[in-house]
Amino acid sequence: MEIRSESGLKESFEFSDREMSRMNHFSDSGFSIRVCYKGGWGFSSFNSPEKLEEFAAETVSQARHLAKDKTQLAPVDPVVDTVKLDLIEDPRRVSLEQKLDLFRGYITHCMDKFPGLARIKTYYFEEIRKIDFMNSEGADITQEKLDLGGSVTVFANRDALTQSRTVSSGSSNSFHVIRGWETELDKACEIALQLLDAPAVKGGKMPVILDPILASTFVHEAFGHMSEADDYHRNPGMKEIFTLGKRFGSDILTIYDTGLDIGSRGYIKYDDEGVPAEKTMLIENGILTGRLHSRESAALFNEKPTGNARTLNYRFPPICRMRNTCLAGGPHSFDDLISDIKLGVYAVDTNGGTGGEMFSFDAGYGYMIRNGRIAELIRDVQLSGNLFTTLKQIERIGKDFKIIDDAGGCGKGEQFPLETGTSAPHIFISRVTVGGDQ
Amino acid sequence: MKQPKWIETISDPTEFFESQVVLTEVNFQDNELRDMQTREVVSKSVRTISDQRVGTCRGGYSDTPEDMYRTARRLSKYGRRAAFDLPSHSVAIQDETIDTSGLDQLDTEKMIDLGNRILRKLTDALPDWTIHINLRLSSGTKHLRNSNGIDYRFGTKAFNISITLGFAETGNIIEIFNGREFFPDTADLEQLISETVEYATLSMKTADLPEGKYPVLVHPVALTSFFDSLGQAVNGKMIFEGLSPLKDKLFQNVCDSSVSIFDDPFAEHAVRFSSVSDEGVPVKRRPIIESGELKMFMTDLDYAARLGVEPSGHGVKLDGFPSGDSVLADPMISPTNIIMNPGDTPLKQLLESIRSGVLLVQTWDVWSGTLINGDVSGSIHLGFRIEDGKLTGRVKDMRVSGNIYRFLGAQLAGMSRERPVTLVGSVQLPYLLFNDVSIT
Repeated sequence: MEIRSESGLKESFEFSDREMSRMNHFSDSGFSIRVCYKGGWGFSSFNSPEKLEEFAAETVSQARHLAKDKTQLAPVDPVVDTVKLDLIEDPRRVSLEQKLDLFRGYITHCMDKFPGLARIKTYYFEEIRKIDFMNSEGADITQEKLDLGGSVTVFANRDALTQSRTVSSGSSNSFHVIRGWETELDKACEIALQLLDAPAVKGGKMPVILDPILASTFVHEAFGHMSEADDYHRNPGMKEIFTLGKRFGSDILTIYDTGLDIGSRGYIKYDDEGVPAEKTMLIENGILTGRLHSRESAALFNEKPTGNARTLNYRFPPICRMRNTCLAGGPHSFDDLISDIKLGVYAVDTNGGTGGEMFSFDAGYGYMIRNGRIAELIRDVQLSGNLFTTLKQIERIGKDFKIIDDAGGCGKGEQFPLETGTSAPHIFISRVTVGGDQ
Repeated sequence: MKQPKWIETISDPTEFFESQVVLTEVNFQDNELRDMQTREVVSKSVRTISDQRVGTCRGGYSDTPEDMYRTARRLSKYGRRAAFDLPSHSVAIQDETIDTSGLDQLDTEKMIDLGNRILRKLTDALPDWTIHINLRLSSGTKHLRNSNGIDYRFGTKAFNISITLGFAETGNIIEIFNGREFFPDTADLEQLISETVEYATLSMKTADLPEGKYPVLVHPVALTSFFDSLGQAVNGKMIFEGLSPLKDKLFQNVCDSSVSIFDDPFAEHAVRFSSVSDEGVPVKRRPIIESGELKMFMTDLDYAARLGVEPSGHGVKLDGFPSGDSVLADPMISPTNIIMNPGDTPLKQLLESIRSGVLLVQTWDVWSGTLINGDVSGSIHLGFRIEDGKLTGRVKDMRVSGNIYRFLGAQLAGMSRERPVTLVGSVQLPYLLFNDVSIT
């Protein structure tokens, strides 16, 4: 049995141009109980502490009702620990007025320097939670967590065409990542305006270079979700496809998921089953070597838990989720990646994407590559392909590895948005389907 | 109903919104019953207008309205200028409870029984597939009060089934979604099972499809993804901010004259919405597009005031009620049921008219990209090659792209008279046939 209690405060605001469009002050608290009895699971969540006994009894009853044979959970030494916030710049010491002025400053900077913009939207949030977790094996962990992030999205508009670009950053330990965006904003504004005159990419299959932001999105969406072992721990077909030791890519390809990057939004010390986080290798030198586990999936695979059981908040049971998912840096310079491409696309930034055997993601914008050089700016660059084929077609990996922490979040089932991080360098893929009118 | 005392003492226009929701779920995973879940969520919000500025606060079970009001008032000095007034007590309905007698006797045993019946039928027909089934019973009450005398309570229940089928072998991973947003009777259940089995069986054979432009017959579920783009374009916030391509197109033709699309909170066989919006505005069936002409923008109180129009009642504080999570203090603009008038052509005839094309059943990732332009591009998550009017195999690793306005305009080649029940209960659409759709 596990019991979790949680209390938190989330504050956020949004501007639309210079006007405040939304401000939120959101406090929430609640409890959850999870019981496993002979393989049957019960879960309940509720707000009122007076209902603790009632829901405990109900959850036990649920689990007993579904009991089958035996409980299978990978063993973990129970941890007793208190994890306090250890912050570089505490957002609570930055007044609301200062935060508002910071974003008003960004808006003024963009509007004054780029008067052709149609609209500027900004968003900032910070959430501090205290989570108490106990289980019947003796684990007793109290964790304080900070999650913060911000974004500025600039819109350019002409007739029926709207283009946008976003500058965004997030952190689990410092407000300072929200400062000093002016240079990035200049670039975002320039690109947004230029995209109004840029042609839409012509669809087809071609070589593509992904920038670190898009490459990390690819790793997260296309491969990361497929590594979440609770999705297939009783699925023989998927287990066969994801047999450890199989080759998934060339020798240069290494992918891992880590909870150890302090300050990253994907940083955790313990997951939501009380398992210490670690760095989990998924692909090493092209070979599948690992998966992301909960205690149950680890037991069913006869592997060790990896600290990936996470829940969005007390209202949901923990499931396998990513933390900071990374494609490791390689040996190549950007020139190495581009120099022999006769016709291709350099895809930059991301508007999101989804994974599966066929992945799909939307670049922020791109450039044609012609005869080994960056050529014209293009818009509406949507990329898709078969995951397994595409991993094998990653032929070159850049040496400019970068951790990407933005203000977005990951979704799985109803649990959205969960704070995660991604990291990657530039990569070259020899053949990708580029969407667009032919 | 007598107002609580605290709200009588407030001089600022203020609204208080609360929801209480209980969700009961039964989950089958990988062909077996796995877990049961019960979630009880109490969620509250306050919105106040103080010195003509909006202040808001959201809270949970332990937060009192008085404390939340004080926080909202404190934050109002940073808030936006209020362009709107709160509606007054002109609402006849105060307590509205939907007749959900069909669900009142539903308990977890009956849900487990239904899940087991579905599982047995599917595993008998598809022994090599893994099957996940989620059954959810939601019961909720939402309560809106404001300082102008509105005191409106709405209670309802809802039931959902979601089925995910998976097949995996090297080089071939298939995922199929289906479901219903009501408790099925025997006939409904047979229909749900048979169409799920049909899609799964058809998808075992793949068909090559060279890149190019094809006629594409789009299933209502896939169309729902495409229509997200249209939804953004008629959103009053997008109109006000000047970002919608339809901002200057009210009462103009925006698509083919055969297209009529309504927003209907009371549509038969759809989700039953409350008669009053989450801001206290009475709702009704409204045309969004009628015979190709754009008829309205969806607004909440704020954006209706900014646009200088009557509010359309689309301010939502709890999306997906009664399955919703936390209430919003400032609403989002969201449609109710989207109902499109069907055509005259039998689906069979539309299918048989296609010499070489695609039946698009489910798409993936259409939501990303610059939807506001109307550009839609997504993976063909489940689609079938059509050759000489017959489905000849599943299309794999391909992508469909286009623009919703061109699809509903020059590229619209047919509209079925059938409007099937699907896993999205709040959308009723026919099949649509589009010509010259880019497939890569």
